[in-house]
Amino acid sequence: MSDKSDKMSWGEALRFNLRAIKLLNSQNRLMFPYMVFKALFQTAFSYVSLFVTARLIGELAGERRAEKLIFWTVFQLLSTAVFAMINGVMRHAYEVRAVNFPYNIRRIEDGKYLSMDYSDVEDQRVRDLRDQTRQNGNWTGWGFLRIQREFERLLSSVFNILGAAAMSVGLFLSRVPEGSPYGFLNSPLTALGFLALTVLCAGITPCFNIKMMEGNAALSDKVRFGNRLFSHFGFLKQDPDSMVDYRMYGQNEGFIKYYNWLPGGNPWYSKGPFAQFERRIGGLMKIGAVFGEKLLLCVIYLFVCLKALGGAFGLGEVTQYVGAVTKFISAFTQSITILNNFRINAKFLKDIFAFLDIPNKMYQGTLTTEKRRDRKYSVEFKDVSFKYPNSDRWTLRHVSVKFQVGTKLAVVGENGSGKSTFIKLLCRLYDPQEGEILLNGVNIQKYRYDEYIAIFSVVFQDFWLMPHKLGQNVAGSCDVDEKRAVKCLEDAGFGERLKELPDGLETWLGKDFDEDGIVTSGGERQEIAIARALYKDAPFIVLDEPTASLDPIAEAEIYQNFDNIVGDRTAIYISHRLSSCRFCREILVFADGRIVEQGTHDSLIAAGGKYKELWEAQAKYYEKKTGNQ
Amino acid sequence: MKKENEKKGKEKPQYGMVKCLCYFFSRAKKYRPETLVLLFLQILFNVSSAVFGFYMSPMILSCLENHSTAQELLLTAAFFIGGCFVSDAMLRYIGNGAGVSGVKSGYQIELRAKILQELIDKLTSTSYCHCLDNQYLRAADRAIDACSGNSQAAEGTWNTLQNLAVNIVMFGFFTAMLTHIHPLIFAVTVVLSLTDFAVSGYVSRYNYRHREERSHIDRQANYLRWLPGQLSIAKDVRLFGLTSWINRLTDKAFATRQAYARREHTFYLIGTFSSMLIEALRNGAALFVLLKMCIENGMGAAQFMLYFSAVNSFNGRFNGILNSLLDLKNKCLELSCMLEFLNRPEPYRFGEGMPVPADSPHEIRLENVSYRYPESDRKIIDRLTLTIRPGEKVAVVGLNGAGKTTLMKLITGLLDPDEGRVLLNGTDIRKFNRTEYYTLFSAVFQHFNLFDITIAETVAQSATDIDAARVTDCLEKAGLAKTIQDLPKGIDTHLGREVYLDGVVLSGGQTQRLILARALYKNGAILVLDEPTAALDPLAERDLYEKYNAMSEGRTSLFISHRLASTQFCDRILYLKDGQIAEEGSHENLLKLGKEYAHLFQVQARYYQEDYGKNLTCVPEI
Repeated sequence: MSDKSDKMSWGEALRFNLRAIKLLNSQNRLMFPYMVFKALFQTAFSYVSLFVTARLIGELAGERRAEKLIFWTVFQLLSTAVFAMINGVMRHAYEVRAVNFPYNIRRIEDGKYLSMDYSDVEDQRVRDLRDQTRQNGNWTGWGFLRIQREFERLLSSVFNILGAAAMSVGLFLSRVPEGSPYGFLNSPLTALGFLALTVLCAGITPCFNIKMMEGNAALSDKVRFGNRLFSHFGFLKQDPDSMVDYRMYGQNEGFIKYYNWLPGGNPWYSKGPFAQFERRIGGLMKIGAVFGEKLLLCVIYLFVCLKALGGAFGLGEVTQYVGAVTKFISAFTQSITILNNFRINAKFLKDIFAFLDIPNKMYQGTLTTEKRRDRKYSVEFKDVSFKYPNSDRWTLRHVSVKFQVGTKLAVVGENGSGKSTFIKLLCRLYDPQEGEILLNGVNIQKYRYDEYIAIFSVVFQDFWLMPHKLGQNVAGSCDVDEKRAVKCLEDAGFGERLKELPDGLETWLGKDFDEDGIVTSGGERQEIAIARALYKDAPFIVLDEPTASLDPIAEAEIYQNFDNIVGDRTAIYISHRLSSCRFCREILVFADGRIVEQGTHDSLIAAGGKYKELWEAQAKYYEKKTGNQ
Repeated sequence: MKKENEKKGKEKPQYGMVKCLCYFFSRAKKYRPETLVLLFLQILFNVSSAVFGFYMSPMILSCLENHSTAQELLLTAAFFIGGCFVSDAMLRYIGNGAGVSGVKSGYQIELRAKILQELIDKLTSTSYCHCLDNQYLRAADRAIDACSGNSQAAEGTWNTLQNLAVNIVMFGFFTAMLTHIHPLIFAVTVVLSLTDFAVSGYVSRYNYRHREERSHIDRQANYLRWLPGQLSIAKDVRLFGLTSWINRLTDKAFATRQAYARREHTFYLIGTFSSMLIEALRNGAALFVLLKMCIENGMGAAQFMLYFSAVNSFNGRFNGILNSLLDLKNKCLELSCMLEFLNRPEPYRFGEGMPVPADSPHEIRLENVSYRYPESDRKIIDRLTLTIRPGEKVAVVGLNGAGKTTLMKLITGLLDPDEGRVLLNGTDIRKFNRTEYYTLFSAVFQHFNLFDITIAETVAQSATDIDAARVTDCLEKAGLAKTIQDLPKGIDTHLGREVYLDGVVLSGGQTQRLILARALYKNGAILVLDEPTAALDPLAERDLYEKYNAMSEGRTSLFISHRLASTQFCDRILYLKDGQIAEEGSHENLLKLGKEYAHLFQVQARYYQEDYGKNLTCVPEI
């Protein structure tokens, strides 16, 4: 995380901004071009209108020729109409693109999660980096979203500068008639003096504005903290389960209220740093900025009016020059503020790109796997050791095991013994630091990841289904092989329920996006997840704690269906319910990151080690002659 | 969209504008009276800024036109520019508009937080049955929504009021001026402005008319843009190669959204063109009248400019009033939601209820209790009668959906029965102060809500009153002490990463133990455990069973579990089926009885028995 008070060089800032604009433009092709047109016509209109009004006033203050008055009036009306139409069409074109812009941004940013190495997805530092940038975007407005706003303002400033410059040239060119007491105004020195004074006054406002922006940006850490606090304790979850906790544990009086009014907590409140800044330095700077604006106005009026008094031009030109010069200055000062905002924003962009530029280190393999009809794949762990990034502890240590094709393997052990990590390594969600994992004798890192992962179907304990159509969920794609999907659902035990569904595979899961969607129980969701695994038709199938929340009957159904589900695949079954070991031929027992035992149920019971301890912890309550404790 | 039109029926707020504004002002007066003073100042300086700004240019021009001296010119300019400076500077300092700026924001945001706190107070204490009532939850949602941002009612009303007041004052000012110039201009401008307002009002309500379609489209697009950032999908996405599926759905959802925007904005073009026509007409009429006055009455150019901008400003202010009124109506709709939510009568008794007997043994009795969830057509508990003696250990078993958790909610007083009564020592629990009644229970339900506070605060469920020794003791009993000790900050470590960036994320098993420690710390007279072992490994499960006696010593305890092993420590087992107690008795008795409980036990136990595999043909039947 870069320190926000550091200043970035203009060159670097420019690079980040250009890169961001290029990236955003690639996601939303036409928004930026239309933004240019929209700003161009909007600005042009205001100058046409200023010009025509000036002519009308000039005519009124001068000769008052009827035909001229009529001409300018009609011109005024027509130009208003034409520009309103052009502007309407331009705005239409722009808005239709801009509507998706916030979505494009989020997709660029969070979309990274879909492609990055899994180890990075789970890395808390990576998540923190992303959360920081998201909070900056949501709560202080810095980041990609800022570019849209600042770019639009910059365009309008640039066009204003051009338009206003063109319309105020006459101010300097027209001369006071010879012999007038205001003759000194003709001297180039006066013009230079006026320009110098203008620049001086014009500098005041942006100076104050920039200082104020920097003051605000310096508070952004506090602001983010305050917003996190407020959104966590102010906007409570309203699900029935949370509602139970609020009541049973008196949480509002206990701590919610406390955190909402944490002393020195929320920077936005009337005594917080933000309010203090606004009351003192920030407030004074605002007054200073207004002072600069008005002082400048005085100078402009003075110069223009004196020239008019001297007879250099008439009232119409006064209107035009005052209008144009004012606009020129305000556009000019604004563009300085805007450029500085781009520079401040670049620091935030840098963080975003730091996240987006996280390299993919893992999935670089190129080998294709051998397609085997007989499913004779052999997988072997060879002295594998692994620790999680940022951890000093070995989660797995010297693990060696070879899977025999077609066996059913149970994996047991206490929480934290390394079972889940073992599966994660098998699926190459992580790579081990020591040792290697081999598929048919070749290190799995050498294979293309999509090819390698195609031989595994995994139902994780915390599997995820999309609130979308049933069939698409099973297929994991928009294109569903219907026969196969139905077959897999039936094999997984969802067949009965499927028959009851009038829309069949087109049924939506959940009512979130479709009123006729179905609500499913935990067991049914499990069945759908298993069906998805079957649809993939991989030679290995891994089931991770599939029965934790099921009642005994539902659990027994899964057990009985197990053979059906697995077929001739190699199966790995992880569970805290040791009952599952009874239908697996081979059992791996994990403890403290090692495989401490391996064998059949009977042999392990006979060995009298860890497995026996685990088994008896559970089995003693089910023994035939359960006496009293 | 036929469906929409049927549903459209105008929404009638329960509270009128006056009541809503009274509520708003009363909160302001109570919590942050400064906001009222600031509102007055905002109006004052807005008006003065508008008046100075309006006269500045024409007055200076008129000096030139009348060939005044340079001195007069300077004085005039200085006066008007100075007036503008003072007004604008004050406005910028105080803060203008809806966003966060200036001194006013601190007070207004704090007031919004105070109002939100009132809503939280209600939300966290209102009778639990409300929490199952979708209508009430929607009201809660909308009330809380009204506090969710700078422009929502709890804060945005200030800006609305300011705009309305300024527009009204300035409207009066320009009306006086226009009627003075020419009544015709006044009449034409009013008629055209009203037409414009009506047309553009109709046009801009396009979104409102299509709100259902729009919110459906938005929901999907929002979901799909939220999805990729979720950790919970990362594994499945990789293992099943779901990226291209998600991308295709996202492309589709974004395209749908854009198509809607295209229709919406095409419709808006009508409004743009009609406004253009009306503006041309209005300007045409004004120019005609004013030019005529110039030529016939010799009106000067500066005067012309003053009047011409008066016509435009008048029109702007008139529209401003109409828009602020609309805006105020919407804000009052939001405020009305708050009042509806806050004033909802409570079916349970709280402060006014009887105190709960403190030290006496607690006997709980259910008499013929029935309960049906709202919007369900099935009685989940059906004429159930049950007595739980003080100090008794009761296990509740049954299949998913048998009503076990609901029974616990009836006993703990979260829900009141539709029929029958729940009695504590012979008194209907409806007579007690419900908040006090909850203190009797140390409950662990299957789902829970952890906040990002410290571990000590989580166990003690308090931020200010923490007995550190007891916290450590309870963590020890729940088997989590070692894990916590290993953390650098020990029990003062924050949970989660949402608020404090250095928090820890506990695993499922660790969280379950933490929740248990929380229940033990509370030390209620009745222990309720709903599936406390689902995420625990066999040794941890055994550990819990072995500690169970110690934990429940001297208390009544109720234990729900799918793992029938757990039932054996209990004095009595209730087997629930279809909302009734189908079987009841000790483990041995129920096994002897040989009915459903025995069968269920067999189904689970057979895998653990030595003769497993010898009679695999025995398929359980239910």
